[in-house]
Amino acid sequence: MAYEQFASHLAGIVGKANLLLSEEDRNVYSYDGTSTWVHRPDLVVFPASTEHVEAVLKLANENRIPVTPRGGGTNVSGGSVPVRGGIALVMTKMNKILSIDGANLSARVQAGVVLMDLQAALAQERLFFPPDPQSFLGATLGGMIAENAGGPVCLKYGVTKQYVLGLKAVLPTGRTVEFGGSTVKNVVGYDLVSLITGSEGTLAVVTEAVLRLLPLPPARKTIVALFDDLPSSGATVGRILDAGTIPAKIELLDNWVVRSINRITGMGLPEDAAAMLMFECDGKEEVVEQDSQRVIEVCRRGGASQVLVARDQAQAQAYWKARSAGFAAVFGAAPTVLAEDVTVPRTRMAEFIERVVAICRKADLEVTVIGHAGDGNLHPSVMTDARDPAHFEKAQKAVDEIIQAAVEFGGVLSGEHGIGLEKQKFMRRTQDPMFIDLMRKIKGIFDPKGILNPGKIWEDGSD
Amino acid sequence: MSNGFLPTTETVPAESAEMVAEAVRRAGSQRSAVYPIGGATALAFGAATETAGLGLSLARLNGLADYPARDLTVTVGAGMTLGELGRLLREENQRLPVDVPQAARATVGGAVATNFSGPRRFRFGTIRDYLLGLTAVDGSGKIFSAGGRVVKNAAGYDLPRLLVGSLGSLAVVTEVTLMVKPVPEASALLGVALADLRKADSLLASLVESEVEPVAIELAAGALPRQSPLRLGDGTAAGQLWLGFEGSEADVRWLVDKAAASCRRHGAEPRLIDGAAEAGELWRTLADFPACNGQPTLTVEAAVRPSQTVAAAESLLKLDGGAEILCHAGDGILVARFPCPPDRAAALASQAREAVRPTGGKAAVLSAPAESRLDRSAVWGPATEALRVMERIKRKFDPQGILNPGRFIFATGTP
Repeated sequence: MAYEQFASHLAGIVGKANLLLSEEDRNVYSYDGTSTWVHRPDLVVFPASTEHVEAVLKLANENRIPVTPRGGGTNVSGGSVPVRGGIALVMTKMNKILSIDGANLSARVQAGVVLMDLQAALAQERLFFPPDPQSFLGATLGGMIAENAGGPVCLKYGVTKQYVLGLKAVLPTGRTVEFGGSTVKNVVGYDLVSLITGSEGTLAVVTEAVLRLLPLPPARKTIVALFDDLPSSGATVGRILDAGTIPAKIELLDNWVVRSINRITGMGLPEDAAAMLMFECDGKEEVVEQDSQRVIEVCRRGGASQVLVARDQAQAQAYWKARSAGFAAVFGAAPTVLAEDVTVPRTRMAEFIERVVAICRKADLEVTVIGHAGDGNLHPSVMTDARDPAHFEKAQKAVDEIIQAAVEFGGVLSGEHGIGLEKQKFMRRTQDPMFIDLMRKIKGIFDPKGILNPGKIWEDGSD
Repeated sequence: MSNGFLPTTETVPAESAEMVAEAVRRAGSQRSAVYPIGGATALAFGAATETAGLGLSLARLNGLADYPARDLTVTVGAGMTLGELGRLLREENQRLPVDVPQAARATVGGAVATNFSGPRRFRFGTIRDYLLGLTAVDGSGKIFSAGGRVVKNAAGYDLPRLLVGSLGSLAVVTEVTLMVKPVPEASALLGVALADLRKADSLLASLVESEVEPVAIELAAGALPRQSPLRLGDGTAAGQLWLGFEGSEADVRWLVDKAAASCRRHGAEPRLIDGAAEAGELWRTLADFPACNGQPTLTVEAAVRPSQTVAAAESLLKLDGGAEILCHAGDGILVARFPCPPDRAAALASQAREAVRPTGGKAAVLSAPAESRLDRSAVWGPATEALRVMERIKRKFDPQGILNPGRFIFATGTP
């Protein structure tokens, strides 16, 4: 079918206003939260209902046109980049919160609901949805489900997968299937909700989800501890968790971020601190008080040079804002930032960071490391410039070494961002070929013609 | 080992993944069925099957492969019992906070296959939430590994979770890596006798949204509250609520005080069980409840929205006031055990399913007398619209349909 004819069919389904064809418009949907991959879709479609999604997929499947589902486009592994062109299926107009059921701690939402909007609505009922990716301002629930998003509080609360009870999803052939349901336990059959969650939009397009919620913790407290050396901070994290205290967040920031925070906020942190840990304890007031005391004690005994306790929520928020700003500065510090996502065993975190620093020093590259220290999920960010091929190549080589090191340390390729495009070659290199073969077979069941988000996870995205 | 549930011609032990693979391949070449067996505690779970085949015992695949305790992970052979795993973990003051019935005999692989859970599911989830990676043998006898050994992993499809609850129909699990947790300092249970089951509703509602944060909310109904060690007072209560608390000594004390006050506000006087021995026995009794008790009984598990728990329990009791019912009320899961002669099991299972339907619930049979030979629709209920996808997945993992044929949701002979 010719392009114009295909476009007019699509317009017939979703309406002209929900179809973008101009080059400028399509450029907007050609990249994601990384700056590494850019590929323009041929058409941008905004479905407004599950029926729209069904019809679009049916048409695309009949014509073997690639479809790449997309939420807020805030993902950081290339997952929503339409590397084979075709349709960018943007779910952001399906953004209704359909119901909130406080008595059963659950909510039904459309896939395009933005996390922050959901949290605002839930807060009215003193509820919350735990996973908290830092892209919460733009990340959609559908995207979070596709990428099995994490975030700082996942230490205590777990990742997105643990909060999805049911899904309404459209298979690439255009058939809608409900998986799971609104009960906590699904008594019959395979756990396809867990299979689709984290499948990076390669198996089905999620249009609605039933989410599990928790009561909003009544109290929280923030503690900041600074350390002169990395190993002491790593050991301190271990001692806190060994003692059975599980803070909601334990964030690790390196010297680069500490100095960056000083520059931006004038907080006056020690410039030579090798590591900074930020804790948030949440729960009932009495319990939070106790947990905080324990965290403070262990930090002091563990050799912290300075321990700061936020006196109230305003100050706590200021600390967390400083963290975000301090880290965000990395994206202004270089034209291109290769932001990584690996998980290593918690006990080897300090050792791994030292290796990262050594790799980058040897290659004369600037690097900063932040991470969710409680679960060993680290984000080393290498600063480079994609327009300078020699430097960029050097940086990419360093990132390869970093990922290789993570695997050597007993870790995995991705903690919370997914494989997408970024780690395909590592997927093939480090995973059991049988595992990849089984994934390929599963993909074939859901998507026999291979139209849905092609070129991702294990497939070669470059062709 | 002979048993009344599986038509095994013989049972052979496997001591390595390679031996499992070899046995599966050999069975495949003869188009013979393979029935993986762990601790043999859940053989009554699943539909009756008539396909004769090989029993493959995983009990000797019970070694400790790796236990980096400070990383809070452990890797063990699928045949290790949960009891043995618990002992190993306790040496490091850690545990797997998943309640599997008959833990002394039930194996880790069996827990993955059945996804059985118990009271602490409300706070801690099921083995699904602790399974980081596994090695398994598919139906063509190929060994594969999926997942990892760290607590956070977003690399590829979640095949480990796909195998959880698949009743050995996709692959034979040979090794698993689990996330573990520190043992809490203190553990206590608060019991409340209820003259009227309906009273539980308002109390439960206040608990779900209160600050009291129990790790378990158990509601016993029917004949169950009269049984020791659950029995409270004169044993005439219509229902009985057990709230479980775990954490630091101070947390637990505080939580128990708060919860007790909340119970009194609802006109119920709670009883505290916090001695280690007594509390331990009570936790075990609650966790072991779904296990067969040796009598001819039908045990059904129903899932409803949590707010419908009491209504569903009442509907089930209308079928037989002598039923024993234990509800994991915070999660809307009910386990109901009916005295039942074998020839009544199919009809009763269907009635139980009908009874919870008005509350939006679904039900599956956990166990029935061996002679009742329940078929898959009696055990699992009507097929969902996702069945077709599931059948295709089954076929990819087990092209000849030799793994546990007939026991899961598929018609015998699938593929």
